[in-house]
Parts: sequence; structure tokens; C-alpha cells
Amino acid sequence: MADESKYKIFWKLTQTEPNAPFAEQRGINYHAYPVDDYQIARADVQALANQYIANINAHNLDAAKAMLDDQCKEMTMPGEPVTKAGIDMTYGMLLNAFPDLNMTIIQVLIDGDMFVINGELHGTSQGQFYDNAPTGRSFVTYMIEIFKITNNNKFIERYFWYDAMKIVRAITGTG
Amino acid sequence: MGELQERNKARVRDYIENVINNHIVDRFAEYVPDDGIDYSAPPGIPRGNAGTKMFFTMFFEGSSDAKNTIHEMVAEGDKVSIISSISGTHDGNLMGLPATGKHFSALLLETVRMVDGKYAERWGGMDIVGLMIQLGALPDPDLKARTEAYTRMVERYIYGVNHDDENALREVFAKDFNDHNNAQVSGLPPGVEAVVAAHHQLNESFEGLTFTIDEVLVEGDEVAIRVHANGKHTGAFYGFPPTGKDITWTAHRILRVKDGMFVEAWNEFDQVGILQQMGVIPSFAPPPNPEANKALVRRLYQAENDHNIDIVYELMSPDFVMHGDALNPYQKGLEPIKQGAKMTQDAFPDMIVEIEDMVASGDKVMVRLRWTGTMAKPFMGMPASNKKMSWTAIATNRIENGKIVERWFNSDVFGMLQQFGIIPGGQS
Repeated sequence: MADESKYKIFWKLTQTEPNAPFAEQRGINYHAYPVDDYQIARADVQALANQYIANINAHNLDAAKAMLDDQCKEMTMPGEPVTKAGIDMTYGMLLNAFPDLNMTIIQVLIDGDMFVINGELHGTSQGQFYDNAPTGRSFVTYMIEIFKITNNNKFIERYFWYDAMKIVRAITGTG
Repeated sequence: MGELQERNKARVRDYIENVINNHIVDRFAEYVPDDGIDYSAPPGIPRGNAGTKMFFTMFFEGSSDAKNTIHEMVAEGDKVSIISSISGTHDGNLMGLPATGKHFSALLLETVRMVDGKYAERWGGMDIVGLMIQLGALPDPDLKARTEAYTRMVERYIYGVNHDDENALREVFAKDFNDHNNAQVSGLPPGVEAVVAAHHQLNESFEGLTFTIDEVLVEGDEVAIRVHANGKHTGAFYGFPPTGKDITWTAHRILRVKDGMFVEAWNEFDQVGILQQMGVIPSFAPPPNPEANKALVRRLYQAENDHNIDIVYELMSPDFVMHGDALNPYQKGLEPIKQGAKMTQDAFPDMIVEIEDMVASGDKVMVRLRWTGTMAKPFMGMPASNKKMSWTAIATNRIENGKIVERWFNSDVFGMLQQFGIIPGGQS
């Protein structure tokens, strides 16, 4: 018989939270990942965060993607959850527009099995960014990237935001 | 996680769920100090709670039911990061975009530094690009992929219905799926189980029930489908005993997708039509009257012989559709009919059309016709021959509410071209 205590987060999400179906609808199989039982040391989370940031700054997206669990889901465009393709969609697109893209860290927050990268993205406009042709102008913008780690030390959830409007204002000289 | 972090998370939850979600902008100062800094505020937004108030006032003007749902919070030291999504209906001017009536849901990530339970500093924001795409202000780069994905979901749904396969339905409908039309049906369980139960019930009522997808349209996070269904009424339906009749009906459904699952839907299907076909309630339309329909067709061609072209306004629908042949290709409306008749009468002033036979059944009249006349003027690019010509045609007319609404038409164009001498073998 399954030990329900292992799935405390799952039960909590489905039984008590007002947004209970959220995690389940994203296809995150909490039964397969009893994350609540998974204790990870702060230093280990910090090491994973550092490794991920290093991969992004080395523009090594394959290495970054290798840190994601095969079941990794992220909230992105309406409807379809993306898995590892999310890295290509976000950083791939940014690197295409800004080949010198660099992330600097303001602070990494760690809380249990989750961590948050609060940082800045820097780059120079050398490729198309949405509707904007390259202008050669540089930008600095804020970014937040949040991960949940599962018991194989891989990332099971990923959330990413950066201030795209600030980039547009900077590279078009309108702000 | 320490006591401070727990307190800060509770404070954030209180602010979002009790104040922001109730749109109480006058209480923002309790959570954001006058000198609070929002590093991600759009240009022109003032500092502190005044800026927060200005931003949300504008946002609520664009979406009167906007609501922020917290998914996760991460706290360390004096900072809290919040994963949430802001959703609502775009029913007003939102950041310069006039109301579209569309539903939106945008991811919102933010990190705040809390001092004495207030947002002293804030970084982050919502997925503006995703929001703009959902509202149609930016092109949707994923539309093609999403259309394919949603179409596959619809096909899986219809497969589940046609094969009474509960698991196929559970694959595509979210557990807490909300069918907005379920109020009409009592006793259904909540969520996806309502879909399973409703379709199981339909399969028990109609043997061999088969839904066919006629149309799939995708925009934003919605997929709209048009289907029709056929089945033999072999089980009780809405309490009415089986009639053994073959029943067919049409239906429309708009489904909203979230995270790869149908989460809510609106549905209209021809329930009354089903009951009418079952004979439970009478048809609203008058029963077809083949003899009256034949009389109407007779009047039409008699009027043509009287050169009373304008009778088309009395006997034919303004939405008339002609599925013709080489002589009279697809036409819509009455003007092409009038022009064709006038052109023929100009070239053949003594033209007479005779009805040689009529076969009528239901709402249709099939009529066999012969035109005879002397070609006094050029016609269809041919010089006037001053010879008597004759050709035949057979037309099916569909009559609705006492007017001809549709016609399928084949004429002996071949014989006409032979008489012109264009094709050998005629009596040119």
C-alpha cells in the first residue's frame, strides 16, 4: 500500500489549495516524485544553481537542458506545457538576438527544494528580437528564473521571466 | 524556513488574495510603502504605493474580473519570490488595447524584499508578450503547432465519444473540467466524469452513435469545433423511450485548453431537433407540400414566358444559391438570375420555356425544361443567326417557406454549341 505521507505535497495541492489542480494539470506526476520526502542540502542547491548559471553563461544550452528531468514542465504559452524545449525557446531565442548574452546574479534564493535566480541579463542587439531588427544597442534587464528540484537532483519545474519590454525600449532607443 | 519567512509569505498571500483580488486599490498603502521601489515598473509609473495603485487601476479598467492566483512562494532572508498567474477577461481598454472579450492567463514572477510586512523593493512582472499574443496584439508564433496539438486533442475526444472509451476522454479533459452547459442536465458528477457520464448516456440512447468533426478553429487558448452526429434511437433519451429511428443532429463546442487539457467548455447542440426527429415534439417548420411546390415552379417559368423577370423577388429567396454547370456556374443571390434571363430574352425575343415533366418529393421539385426561340441578336459571343434554336435542361429546386432557396442545374450546353456550329454533329 502506498505511503500517503510521501505524497503530502500532492495531497495538499489536490485537497486544500484553492488552485489545487494547477500542478496536476501541468502533468507533474507527484506520485512518481515524492518530493516532500526529498531533503536536499542548501549547499547542494547552491551548487546546482551555480552549475546552471555557468551553463547559461557558457551558452551551453545542451548542458543546461541536461539538468532538467525528462518530466520537467514549465508554465509558458497558453495551453501546451513545454519540457526541455523551454530552454531553447527562451535562451535560444535570446542568444539568436543577443549573441553576447550574459547573466549576472543579484541573489539566489533557496527555500527547501526550490531556488530562485534573481539576476540581470546583459547583451547587444545583433539579431532579430520579436519585431525589432538588430540595432547594435546594448541593454540591461531584470530576470527571474525559478526551479524545483526532484530526488534525482534534476529540475522538475522551471519558470522564467525577463523584462522583454525593457529590452525593446533599450535596443530601439525608446526608453 | 524561519518565522520571518512564514510571516512574509502570509503577508504576501493576504495582499494578493484579499486586497488585489478584491480590487481594493485604496488599501495598497498597507502593503507598499510610499517610497517602495519597483524596478520593473513601466516608464511613467510613480514610486511606491501610488505607482502600484496607478498600475492596478489601469489593469482593472482593462479587466474587471482580473484575479491573481498564487501557485508557489519561495522565501529566504527578507525576500519572497512568488509564482502566480494573472487571469481575467479583457473587457475594457487594457494597456492601450480596446476590449476583445478574450480570456487571458499570464504567468507572473516577482521577487519582493519585505520590510515590516511591506514591499520595500520589487523585481519582476508578468509575461507581457504572452499576454499580447493571447489578446491578438502580437502574432502567435506557436499557432500552427498549437492548432495541430489542439486538433489531435479534439480527435482524441471524438474518438473517446465514438468508441465509448472513458480513458480517451480522461486523457484530454482536466479532472476539474467545467462544462458551462451542465446546468441543463441534473445528476451529472463534477469535472471530467461529467463528460464521461454524459457521453456514456448518449451511447446508451443511440446505437452506433458516431460524431464527425466538420470544422476545427483555433485561436489563443480556445478551440472551436463544429460536429454532426448520427445514431439509432435504441435507448431512453431525456426519459423518452426508444423509437428505433435514425437520428442526426449538429453541435458546436468551444473548449478552452490549459496545460494540454480541456479545462472548460461551452456547448450548443440541436436538442429540439433530436426530439422532433423522435416525434416527441412537433416540427416548427410547415410540412413539405410537393403540390404547392410544383405550382410555385410552374408560376416561375410562366412568368419567364411573360417576360416578368421581377417575379424572382416574390418566388425566390434573396439568399438563393445555384449549383450550376458550364452555362450557369455557381451563383448566389437573385441578380445573376435576372441578368441571365434578360440576356437570353434580348437575344431570343420569342423565347418560350416549356415544362415537359416535374417530379416532386419532400422539399424538392425536379423539373425537365425545353427552351425554344429565334436567335435575333448576338448571344454568348456568337453572331445572330436568325435561326430557331432549342435546348433542354433539368433542374432540381429546393423550396423552403414558400420560396426557392437552392437549385442544381444541368442544361444541354453541348447541344447548344452544336447548333452554333462550334461542335460538329448538330443542325447548325
